Amino acid sequence: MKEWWQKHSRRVWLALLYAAAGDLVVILCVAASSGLGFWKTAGHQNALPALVIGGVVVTLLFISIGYFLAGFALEPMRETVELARRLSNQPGGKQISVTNPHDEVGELETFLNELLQRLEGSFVELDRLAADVSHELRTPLTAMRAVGEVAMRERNPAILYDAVGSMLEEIRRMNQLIDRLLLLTRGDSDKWPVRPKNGPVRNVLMEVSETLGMVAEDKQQKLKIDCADDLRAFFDAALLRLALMNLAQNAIRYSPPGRPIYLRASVADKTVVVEVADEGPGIAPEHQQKIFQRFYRVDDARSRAEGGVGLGLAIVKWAVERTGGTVELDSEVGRGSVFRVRLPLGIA
Amino acid sequence: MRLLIVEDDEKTSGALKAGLESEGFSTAKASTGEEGFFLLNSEKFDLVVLDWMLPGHDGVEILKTLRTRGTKTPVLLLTARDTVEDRVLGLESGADDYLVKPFAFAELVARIRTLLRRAAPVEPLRKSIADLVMDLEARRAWRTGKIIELTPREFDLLVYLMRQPGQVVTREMLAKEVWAETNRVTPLDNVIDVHVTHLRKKLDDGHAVKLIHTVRGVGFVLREEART
Repeated sequence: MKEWWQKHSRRVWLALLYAAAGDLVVILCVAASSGLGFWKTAGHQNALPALVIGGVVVTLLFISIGYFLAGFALEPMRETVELARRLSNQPGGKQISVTNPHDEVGELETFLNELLQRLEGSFVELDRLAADVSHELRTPLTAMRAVGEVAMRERNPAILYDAVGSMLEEIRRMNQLIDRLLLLTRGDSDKWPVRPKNGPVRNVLMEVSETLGMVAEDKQQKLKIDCADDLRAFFDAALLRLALMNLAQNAIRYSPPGRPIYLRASVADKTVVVEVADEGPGIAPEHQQKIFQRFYRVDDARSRAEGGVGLGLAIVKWAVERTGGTVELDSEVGRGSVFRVRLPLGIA
Repeated sequence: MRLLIVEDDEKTSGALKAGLESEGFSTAKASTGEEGFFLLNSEKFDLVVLDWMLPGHDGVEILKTLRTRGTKTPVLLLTARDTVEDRVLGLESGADDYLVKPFAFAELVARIRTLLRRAAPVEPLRKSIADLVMDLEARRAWRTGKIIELTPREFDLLVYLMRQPGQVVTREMLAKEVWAETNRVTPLDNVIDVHVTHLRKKLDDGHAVKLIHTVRGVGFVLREEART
């Protein structure tokens, strides 16, 4: 009984409402007709019992009709939900066909379609991520396993020592991969604290250049800063530094010895534009769109050899967007790359 | 120094016990919160290495009970949880330090020593190992009486290595302590490597006894050793 009520309560309430409205109409009719003196002339002085019985019968009739009509009106909802439930369980991105997008059911169907689409998107993303992560973890695991298995046959402590060292290196790589991945996924769920403040951009550029100065020097490269002292933007310092550190390191890593790397900032279209520019080999157009994706590598072997885990630019994008900015790439093969970060203009 | 290790994973606790004993500590092991609590009440320990996630009563519960009872033994909390909220919760519940899993063993040892040393006297302003002498106040260093020109960063790096001679120092430790980097994902590995290479050149070139050594897969160590 309880179950039935839970399932049908809305229908019953609608039926009761319908009956109440119907009764009201009947009562008004009766009142109006008695006011016209219809009952008196007909000679029905004591019509009360008949009225009551008639009222009850009419009300019950209304309730049944109302119950039926409500069911009729609500049935499409139930069907839609049933369909959505089935579709949400199967991959493939099938959608509910919307008959009339303007009525209530149509709106519900459109909304459910949007939900289904987002769900499908998450499924695809999750599948891709799981595949990528498995692949990325399998690479160091394969290396560790091979090194370990070969080392097991050894008795020479120097070789064993070296094997353990090599395995520890791989473990470090896996750790870094997991740290970075966690940052990205946690970032997705908005759990990382972001504290954007109005501040000078130059300080961040200086800091990045100081930290990386010696690395660049080792490649006979110079980090050149071009930024007005009083240029202010609105940003979270830790996030911007993280992004610029990654960009500048990439520039050092991929541009040839002797070529300068520029850290520039200026104002354009009421935003602050921070650029990390190099005179390196540049990035081909077919890679430019995908380069910010997780685990996307232009040159798999090279990037691995340099110790990359394939998440640097994904982290750049994440960090910049978290602090309220955007990042884009402007690159031409043979001329170099410019990574352009746009931040909200600060108050002077 | 007697340490208590409360950790439910047998492999981890076994490795920690063996490692810490080889570092000269005497240790006891507990695999549940209750067991750890019992040992703490029946024996005297100088420090507790406590895992957060334990079957039954977890590490933080045990820690809170200990602190409300007035036990002041330093506690180093181990955990796989590393959000800011977790750190705050861990430290607020009475932990003296906090180490995120997976950690480098060298870092665990360094932190244990730091916790144990807190009550110890102030650091001397002059330090030396072999023929290397450092003046921490004047920020100068000499080898065989000859001054070595160091950048501020190189000096800080050398001081950090000097504070734990013979102990392996990981890149993560250097990033945190010398570069003051709080964020684990900031890419500093090659920055550190480059600085160590430069420091090594300035320090060891032309000397038969080498002081800075790389421990593959782990980090760097300052000790006297002839290297071919």
